[in-house]
Amino acid sequence: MDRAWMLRSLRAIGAVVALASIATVASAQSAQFTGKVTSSGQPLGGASVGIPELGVGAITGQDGKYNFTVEVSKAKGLPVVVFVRYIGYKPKRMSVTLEAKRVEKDFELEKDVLSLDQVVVTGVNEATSQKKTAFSVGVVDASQIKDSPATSPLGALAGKVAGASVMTTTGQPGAEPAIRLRSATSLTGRQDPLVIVDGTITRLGLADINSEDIERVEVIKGAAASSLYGSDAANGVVQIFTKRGAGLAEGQLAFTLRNEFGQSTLPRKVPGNMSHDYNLNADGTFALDATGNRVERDDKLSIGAYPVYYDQLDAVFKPGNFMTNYVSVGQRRGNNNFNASFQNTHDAGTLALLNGFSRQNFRINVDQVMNDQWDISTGAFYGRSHSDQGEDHGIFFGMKFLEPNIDITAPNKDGTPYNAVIKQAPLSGNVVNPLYGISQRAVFDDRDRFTGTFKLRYRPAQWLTAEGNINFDESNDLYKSFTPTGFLNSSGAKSKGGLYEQSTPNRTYNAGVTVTANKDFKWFTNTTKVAWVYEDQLNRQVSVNASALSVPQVTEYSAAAQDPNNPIQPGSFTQTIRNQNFFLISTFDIKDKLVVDGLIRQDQSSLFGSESRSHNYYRGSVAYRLSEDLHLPGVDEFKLRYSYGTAGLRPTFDAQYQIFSVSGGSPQKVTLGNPLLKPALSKESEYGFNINFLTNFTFEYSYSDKVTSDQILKVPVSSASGYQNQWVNAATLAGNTHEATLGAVLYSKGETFWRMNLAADRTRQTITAMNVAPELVGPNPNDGNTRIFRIAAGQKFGIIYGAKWIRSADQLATTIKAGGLTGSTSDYTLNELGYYVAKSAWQTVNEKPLKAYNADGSTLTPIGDVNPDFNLSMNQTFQYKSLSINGVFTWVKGGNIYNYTRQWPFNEQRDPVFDQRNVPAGTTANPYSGGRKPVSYFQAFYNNFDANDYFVEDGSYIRLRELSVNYQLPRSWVKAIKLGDFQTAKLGIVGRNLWTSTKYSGYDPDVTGPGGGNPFAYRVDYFTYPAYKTFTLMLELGY
Amino acid sequence: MQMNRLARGLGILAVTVAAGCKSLDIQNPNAPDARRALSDPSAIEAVAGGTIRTWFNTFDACEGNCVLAVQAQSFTSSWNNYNMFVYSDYSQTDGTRNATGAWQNDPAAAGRTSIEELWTGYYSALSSANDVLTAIRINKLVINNASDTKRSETIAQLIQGASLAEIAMNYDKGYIVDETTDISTLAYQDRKKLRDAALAKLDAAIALANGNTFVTPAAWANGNTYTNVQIAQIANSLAARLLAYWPRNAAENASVNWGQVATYASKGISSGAAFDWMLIGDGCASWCPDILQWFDAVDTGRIHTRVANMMDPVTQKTPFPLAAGGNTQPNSPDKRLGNGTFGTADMVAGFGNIPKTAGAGTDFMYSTQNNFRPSRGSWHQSNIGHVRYDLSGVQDVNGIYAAYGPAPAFTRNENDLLWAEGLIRSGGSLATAAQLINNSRVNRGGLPAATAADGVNGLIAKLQYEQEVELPGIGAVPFYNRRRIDGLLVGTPHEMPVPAKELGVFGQALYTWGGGANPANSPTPP
Repeated sequence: MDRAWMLRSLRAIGAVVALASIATVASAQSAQFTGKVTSSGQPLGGASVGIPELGVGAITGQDGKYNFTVEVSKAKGLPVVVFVRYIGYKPKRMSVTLEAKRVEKDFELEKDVLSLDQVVVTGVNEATSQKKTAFSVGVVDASQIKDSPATSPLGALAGKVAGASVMTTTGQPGAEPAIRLRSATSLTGRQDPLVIVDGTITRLGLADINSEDIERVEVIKGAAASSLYGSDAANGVVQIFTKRGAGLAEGQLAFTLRNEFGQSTLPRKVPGNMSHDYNLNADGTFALDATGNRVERDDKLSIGAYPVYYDQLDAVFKPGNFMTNYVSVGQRRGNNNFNASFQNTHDAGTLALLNGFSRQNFRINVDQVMNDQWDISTGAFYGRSHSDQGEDHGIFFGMKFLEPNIDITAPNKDGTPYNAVIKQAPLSGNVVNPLYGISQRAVFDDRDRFTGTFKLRYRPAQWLTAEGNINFDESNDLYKSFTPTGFLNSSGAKSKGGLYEQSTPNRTYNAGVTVTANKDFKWFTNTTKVAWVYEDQLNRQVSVNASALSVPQVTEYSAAAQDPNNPIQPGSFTQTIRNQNFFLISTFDIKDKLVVDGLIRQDQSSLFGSESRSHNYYRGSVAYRLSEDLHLPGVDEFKLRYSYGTAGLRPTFDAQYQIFSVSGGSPQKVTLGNPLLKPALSKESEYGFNINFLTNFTFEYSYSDKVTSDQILKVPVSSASGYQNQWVNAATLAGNTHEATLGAVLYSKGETFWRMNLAADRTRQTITAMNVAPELVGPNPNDGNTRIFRIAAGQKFGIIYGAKWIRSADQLATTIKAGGLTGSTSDYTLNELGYYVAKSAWQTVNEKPLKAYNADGSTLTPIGDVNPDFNLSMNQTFQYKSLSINGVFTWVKGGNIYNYTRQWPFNEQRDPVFDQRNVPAGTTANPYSGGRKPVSYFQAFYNNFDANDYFVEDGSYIRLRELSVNYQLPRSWVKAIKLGDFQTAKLGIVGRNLWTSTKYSGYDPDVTGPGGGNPFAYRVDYFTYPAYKTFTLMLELGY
Repeated sequence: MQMNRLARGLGILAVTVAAGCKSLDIQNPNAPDARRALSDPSAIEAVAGGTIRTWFNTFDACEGNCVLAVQAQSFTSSWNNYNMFVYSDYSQTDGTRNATGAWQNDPAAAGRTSIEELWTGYYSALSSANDVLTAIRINKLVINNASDTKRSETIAQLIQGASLAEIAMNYDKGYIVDETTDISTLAYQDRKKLRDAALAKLDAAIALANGNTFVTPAAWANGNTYTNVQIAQIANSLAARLLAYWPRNAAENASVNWGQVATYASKGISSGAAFDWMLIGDGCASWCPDILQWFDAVDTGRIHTRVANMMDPVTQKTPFPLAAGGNTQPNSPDKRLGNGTFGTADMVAGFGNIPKTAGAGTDFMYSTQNNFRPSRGSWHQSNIGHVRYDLSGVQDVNGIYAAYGPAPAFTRNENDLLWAEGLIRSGGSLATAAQLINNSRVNRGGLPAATAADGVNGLIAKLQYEQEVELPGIGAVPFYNRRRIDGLLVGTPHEMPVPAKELGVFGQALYTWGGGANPANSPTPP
């Protein structure tokens, strides 16, 4: 009976809540239950009180009172359990034998500050207490989000779930970060988990969704848990539940108004070289040769001050406004509840002249109980956003080549703003005045998003539930880029202008039917579910490009030049993707202490090769609540668990097809098709335990051993075939992750409460097999510059490949032996900067660093590893009376970043290291004797822009990722300042990314390469919009 | 009862949802597969026409060819786009540049791409040509009528030969594949066998062109049309080019059947109704004279000081480093350079030109600007830009070559030079040879005429001057001409290895040519 209570109570929460009013209909042979639910003496509205096994119950009103009746005959003379539950509180129960009388019972619930009784639904058969899950399920609930909600829901996971790495792919306002759960599953693709929002399998991103609407996020991190989601779930699953009215007290109307206003600022500025190596005239101007070029100093020392300096960074980077307004209304009344919200965001980012990102979101969720067997849940979301973007102007690239004597705020010759023609000899083809680009060009991205959800639930019997759902998701994206005629490049050449527009209307829907049976047997309870899931996705894109315009300042195609040499070029594509999946899952709860679970799933997908259309996945898992049998002193709960499961990664749309490109009207072979192409197969074992001890502590440890075979790789084929490549299943990637979470209530007395959560993880990953030739890959498959990450069998994954400079005696000896240098080791010496140089060149204008050779005569070797040693985050919550403080610190220890943003300007002496003014001067006879180096010394590191270890940097950092300080104003103040009937008013400050400690030399260590490739494995800093910090004031009103 | 209701409810839902379910077999609507691309007569005809474009886009690709141009010290670039800088000056052994000069035939090396483009591009053209011939000869496909079918067959045959010829000229070995080959049993053949196979295909193309009458559609060459007679001339010129440019060194050059070269060239594009085989760039949308994008634009590439010095030894010093300020304005007797003036005053800010005066050259210009600091390598960046194919002033007064307009695949002057060399080296008429040389030397350069009295050595010297001045921008032709007279810098590889990417497909060992540790090229095949 005990086990039945536990499982059935969890399973039937929804039913009890739904039936709250129906069950109050009395009859002659009814038992009537009434009473009050409180916590710390205060009434608890919205708590559910009921008898789950009989499907009856009620929701407490705002006064905490409940009232329901049940027919005595339903209990068949057996005792039943009255179950009381409210999210965030420890549940209570009471065993009674039903009689036709009134039972009055009050319940006092205790806060579940360590979330020990949290219920999850992701990856499991049905709603399951965390005490009984056989694998780790990370949960972030509204209480962890509400005080400093991230612009994107994925950002809300940062620092809160062990094993979840969140990384900024671009700081562009409104952009969503990338997330990886545990070790990588794919060598070249992204690691995005499957994301489900209120049952909608979303393929259209989360950038449109605001965090304030989130009730709860559940995260499962690999195949050991995610098998239930099949061929697209090897990266794990993130399931998001938005707020509904179901948690409100009966009759309650809840209203929240929250406003934040503040600023976004760049965390740091990265200046260039503030000196030069040119001769000056007596008046301080540059000496010029006969053709107007500057004359380089004979000693090539960058020690000259410019005649004038301008703070260019200050002109380009400006603090931008950050504002959010959020209003939410929810009500629960009888058979209905709803929650509706509106959110307005404006984030100007940190670039001057741009408005940044703005978004308006509307959401409504409605639940309706039809009768004692049918109920429905619906939801609708509409969001629209607009951003004017800073990425596409060459801003972050071009400005790195500016010399500091250029006034980028000066006007052009014709008086128009922002001096475009900024060339000065020696010329740089790379230099750009970012302000001119931003002011003249327009790059907009507008998105509309609509999501509709519908779920129908039917309970023909207490032991049987059927559900059907249809979820629809649509996104319309319009990207537009306009360059006016006469747009100047830095040399003064005028452009013909251009107009590019790209429309991307995508839609997807998923539908499903599940039937769940739940039966109690003598010594176990079984829950079995069968399901069918169908997904249908349509991606389309239409683009038009006009590369020349004939009319100025007309931003539509009527201005396009009718020039045969600049024809208007259209483009389009359509991708239809369909998947049909079936699964069966069965869970046995044996004596409330042993949970055994097994599932099998078959996925059929149009993305698989035509001769490989269906694939099977399975899972077996077990959880043993050891503390039920073995009572250890101080240990409240001790669970051992193991799970093994398989899941897949689907190929991209094009991968299976034989593809000819059509260029100039004629077909040409590109990709050899592969009808046998399979999804990648990930197999994961997860071992772990959960221990709750000394009442106030909880600890969870998991070890994941993941092997993903059949990696989907695009590999070259013999050119004799005429084709360039083929997608094949060709490699195996293994990874393991240790992750641990410690929760502790450090102090809880009176009105003071202090809680801390620590989450840590460490991941290692290796390519164990690869049956194609090793190759270099990078974040952008179309950009050869950043392909510096080598994939090969037996090699760690995330290795940066390039050249090393000789810094040790061993390297020197090996290089000489390999023929890379002549002479003997005595011909070389270690210089002041730790690099070996030719002794004859040391402290001369000819001094250069020397390339290290391997024993086999090659110079290419692993030079860095992007994998952090570990990630650690600390989440602190402190409350004292009306004051609450929340802070999230993250510590990423180790992991390299390849800094191209620094390397490229070396070509033009723009890095601060060139500046020798602060290095001791040498003698008149030898200006290098104090340690100064000529510009040619440092330019050697540019190395033709090929990767070398000079630009491999430690990406470690410690960051205060979130900080919120809130003060709840006394009611009397609220009235005094005429805030009306609001019962609560909170005033606070919110900081995001406020403080960072790092040795990384770029703008921010939370950076990764552009182009959409694997952002965690291919970490490069490549002229992207840097992540920034925001600081805001917050006012929240509610009743 | 309850179960019935459950069944009914689920049934309704299932029917509703299933109605929306469609087949999982989805055809890719965005691009054709072989079935759609190679079965329809009009599609096959488009493939035939496309072989010319693929071949030309490879012949004029900057990737690979630009490196060959700078290795030949014909052009220079201090940019490292397409690895030009890293492969361009092997004399630098300061540890910052490639000290050996070997092709970086390693999948981990950035320089690997320079040896991939020509391999993949020419085999792509060859494969398409094979598809056309498979359809016509094996599957007996008829394209509209017998005449149109023969037209496609002839073009495919031409590109078969032209593609194999380029593989033979650039790589130490390769596959000989045609419409009869089973590509599941590939084997490398040496470069001599490749050359002979290419020649056989070109001979077959000549026979087909001579045996049929047709005009190629304008779309096949982006606006230009060719008669069957012209196709035969092109094939003859390509055959002459193959034989003459195939040698890896002077010894092999001496073994060329120069009489055969003269015979082919005498039937080439400068014979009869002479014409230039110019293909039309469209800004690289489909037709891409990429090599000219870099070297007919003075801000990305310049003619080498070695060549500039040949045209005006007085003002154009070589090599760098020079005195501050670089070389001064030229005053060349060669009208192709003249006084170096070019363009308009509007362009001065962007390109450092001296606006055009009466003494302007036709092919070259002078720029006062140098894009690079000496420490970056301006020692090999001259003040002379190549603007022969530039259309600035026609298309855009402020732009400079933007890959539009005619771009050379084979000029009549190049054919003249091959013809002349064939005559000179095979003991033919020196007077005729001199006349052929003068077609460019006098008619374009305004230089004193070459005569038979110059003798073999004198004529060869004048011929080689014409090669240096006339042929920059025509694929990798300057490289082949420098290679076969041992004119390349020591350490420069004389041919490309099979790219690592291809070797990797079959798990074959990596190897390379050039640099200090490797021979410059494979041994002369028996």
